Amino acid sequence: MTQFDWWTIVGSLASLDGFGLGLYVLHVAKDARRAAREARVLARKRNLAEELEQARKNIELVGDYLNKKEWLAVRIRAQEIMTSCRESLTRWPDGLSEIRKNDVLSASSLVHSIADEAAAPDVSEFKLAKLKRLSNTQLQAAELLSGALGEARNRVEEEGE
Amino acid sequence: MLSGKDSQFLTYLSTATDAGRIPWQPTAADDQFTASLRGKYNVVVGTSREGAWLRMSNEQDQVMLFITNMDDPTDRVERILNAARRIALNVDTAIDEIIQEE
Repeated sequence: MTQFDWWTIVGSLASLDGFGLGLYVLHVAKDARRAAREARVLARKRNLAEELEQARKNIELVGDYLNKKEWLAVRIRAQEIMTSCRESLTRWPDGLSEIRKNDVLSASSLVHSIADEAAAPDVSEFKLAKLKRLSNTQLQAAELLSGALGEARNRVEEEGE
Repeated sequence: MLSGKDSQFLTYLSTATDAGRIPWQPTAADDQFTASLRGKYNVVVGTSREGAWLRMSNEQDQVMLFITNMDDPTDRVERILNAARRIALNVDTAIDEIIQEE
């Protein structure tokens, strides 16, 4: 065989490899797209109890971040809780009793006040009394969210029976 | 400038707060209290350099109403704030505790 033939063989093999790699990339991309689509469907299917559970987990994290004085993290988690509260009330308007809906609204309002305080310019100079008030507000919001979560779970169980 | 409805709302809040029907709670901010109504609305009262204010928002956290004490010649916003503070901070219980005879 001539040198020209060898290069032809090498070139053909390389293009076959490229083709194979292209197919693989296409396959991976399709898998990723399917996974993203499934995640979106799952997020849509998330029920009220799961939404409130997420808020409850986040309010616990806010407590941790308050202790560590990680103010940016406090604000980010607070924002997520407020979004969860808003979602809970607008996507499932009949999902909770009026009392528990009030609790969710109040929890959101309390968390909003924590986020506002965490954004204060003098946040690094907060005195102990102020930090204690922030912590008490976080606990109060956690209690309100737990009450709402309890009712949402009860309803899920009742519907399942 | 207060509308007739705004005025009615302030009167309702003032009366219901005095009657202990509104469960005001302290927020993380200084002299600021919150309560939720009808499972749809949230009211926050607070104070700034210009005096007392009241804000009502809906379940999507959109501000529906913002009234300052200067908007109301009868000082109802200030009175609501004072009454909300008494409830949220259990002022009456604290006074009872202090003045009780041993």
